[in-house]
Amino acid sequence: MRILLIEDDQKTADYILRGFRENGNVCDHIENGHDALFQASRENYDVIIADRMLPGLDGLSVIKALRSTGKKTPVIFLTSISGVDDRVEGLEAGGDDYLVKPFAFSELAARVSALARRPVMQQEKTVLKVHDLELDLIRRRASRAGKEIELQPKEFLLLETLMRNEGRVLTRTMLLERVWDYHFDPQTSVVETHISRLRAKIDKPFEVPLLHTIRSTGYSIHAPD
Amino acid sequence: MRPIKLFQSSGFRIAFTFTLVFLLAASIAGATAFSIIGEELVKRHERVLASDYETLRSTFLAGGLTDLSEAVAAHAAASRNHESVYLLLDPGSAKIAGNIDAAPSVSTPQMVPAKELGLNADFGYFIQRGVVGGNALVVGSSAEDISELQEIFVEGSLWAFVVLIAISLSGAVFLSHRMNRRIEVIQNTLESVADGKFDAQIPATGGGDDIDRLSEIINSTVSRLGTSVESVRQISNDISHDLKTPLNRLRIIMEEAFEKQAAGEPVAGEIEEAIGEISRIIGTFDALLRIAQIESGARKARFADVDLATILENIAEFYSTLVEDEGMKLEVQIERPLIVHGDRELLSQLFANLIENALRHCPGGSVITCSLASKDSLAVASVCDNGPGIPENERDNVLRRLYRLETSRTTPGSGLGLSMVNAIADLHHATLSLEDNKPGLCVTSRFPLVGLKDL
Ligand SMILES: Nc1ncnc2c1ncn2[C@@H]1O[C@H](COP(=O)(O)OP(=O)(O)O)[C@@H](O)[C@H]1O
Ligand SMILES: [Mg+2]
Repeated sequence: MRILLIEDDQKTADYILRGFRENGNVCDHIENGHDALFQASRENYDVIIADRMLPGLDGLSVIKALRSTGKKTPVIFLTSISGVDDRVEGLEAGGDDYLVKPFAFSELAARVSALARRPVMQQEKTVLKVHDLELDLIRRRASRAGKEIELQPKEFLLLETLMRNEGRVLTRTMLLERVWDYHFDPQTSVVETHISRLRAKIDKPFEVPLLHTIRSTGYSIHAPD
Repeated sequence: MRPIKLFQSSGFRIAFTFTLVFLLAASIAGATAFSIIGEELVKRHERVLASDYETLRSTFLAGGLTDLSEAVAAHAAASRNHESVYLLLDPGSAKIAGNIDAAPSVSTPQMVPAKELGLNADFGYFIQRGVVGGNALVVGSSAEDISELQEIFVEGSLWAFVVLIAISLSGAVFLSHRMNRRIEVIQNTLESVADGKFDAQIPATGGGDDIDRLSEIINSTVSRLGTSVESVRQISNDISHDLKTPLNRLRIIMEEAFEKQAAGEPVAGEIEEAIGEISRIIGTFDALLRIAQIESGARKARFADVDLATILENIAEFYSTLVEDEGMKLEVQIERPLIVHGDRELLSQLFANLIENALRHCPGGSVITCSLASKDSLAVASVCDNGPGIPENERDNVLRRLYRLETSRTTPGSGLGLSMVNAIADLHHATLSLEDNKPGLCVTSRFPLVGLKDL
């Protein structure tokens, strides 16, 4: 994956760069808005990670300018201000996702990989499949190994979200945003209880587990290796 | 404080401009009246002259030149002070009779200066001249009345102007003084606000005029500003007090790790503990920032009409699995739809915080009830439980940032949940009340409803 990181804080940048490079990604790092805009419009990256506060041209303006040139590279904003207004501003400027500093690297990595390989084809599929688990989006039916599984509407959406991102990790907050459209941080293990309900239906009665918990990061659905 | 100069005062400027406009209007009206009256007078003179002339001419037609010259002489003798003038000249231009010696030859009746008639006066004469049997007949009348009228008019107008200017200038000075005094009061008030006295208020004069309305707006702005400043002061106090504890704990953990490391023991446990502690501190900061952002009112820009019933129902559904897992019961009684003007995200968080509190602070087996109904054009939403409740004397305190009951020392939490609930309710103009559920706590918020007609 080719990633462009626009970040002026050296410590944060090092932390992010090291993480992505260790995972075998190619990362370019630029510290100010003007150079970043030049670099981003010239090269083709899979994902751009942009700090909102930058010397010179700020992150929001960089992405606005980039979008006006027609570049569609997925962008994730980093910011040290929390609150939904900043999130909405970021999305309005053409950002695709948003993460509040400080964050765990695993959270950023999960979001970046969800953005980078945002499946274009998957969206047109009407039946999602992972191993022997099938989700029929038209008839709103789930089945595993031919056996029908009854799901509540939110459970269905949760499973659909996980299956659309097969093999990728979705964090607690990503699920919260995508399934429930909540952007606050619950102080309780409420997401976990929904996962365990879902797991009880799609995994428990079967031999091979498909829904995996990734320690201190999130959840992922994939076929056994 | 800078005194306001007379010419810079808006009251004076308005009054002054008005005076000028008024004078202009008065001058135009005066000039019009003057010319109409003048024209009328001229017409009257012309009529009198024409009839005089006709009378004399008919004398000639009846009795010839002798009668005419007698008549002219009689008329001339009857006119005192040359009020009317008469002159009869023979074909050789020699005077036959009359009270003047010369007259210019005019073809139509018109005004001529007295000098041309050989008279000494500073007003003119209307004269008519014609030929009667080869002799020249001139009749004329003095236009003294017209010049007198002119004089009276000019003098009268001048005096009227002087009085008018005097009155309106003193009015302007009076108005500007009154205005200046009020503006100075506002200036003084704002200057004490700048000095940090946020309780300063501009007294209302009770007239309810535009300055009063402006003062009201300034007053409410200042008091809101005061509240914000006070809340900032309060926050920084609370934070410095309450963050000391976890920071101290962090320090102890790090010192222990340091000692252990010196002794060659593994320190992974301490580091993990420290990271956990730091995450909690960050979480507290995030929540504090979020509360501050909510209180700033910036989110209002994104308010829309939302269905409170759907919001509460979704949150209740979201938590239902966790409530069950905790061995509690969640009951939902919702009247729908109830439309309020607000922010879906924040309203969701409000109910989430209340349900999480019940989950956290109530023992297993408790019942949580979410209810929503309309009453007196308010949407009344409550989250109640039958847990330990909050003692009456603590109900105001728990709304403060970072405040937690002594009994909750060991339960996880940062003491910001209810502060956020309070801030969100405030932003929505909702009243928040904490009541005794006998046993348990009942948190009720009352939102102004949006009329269904607006849907
Ligand atoms: N439902 C409840 N029942 C009993 N006590 C409560 C309840 N909700 C809140 N409290 C008390 O009020 C305090 C403040 O609540 P809150 O601001 O949400 O902070 P936190 O829950 O993080 O402690 C809590 O610490 C607790 O002592
Ligand atoms: Mg709480």
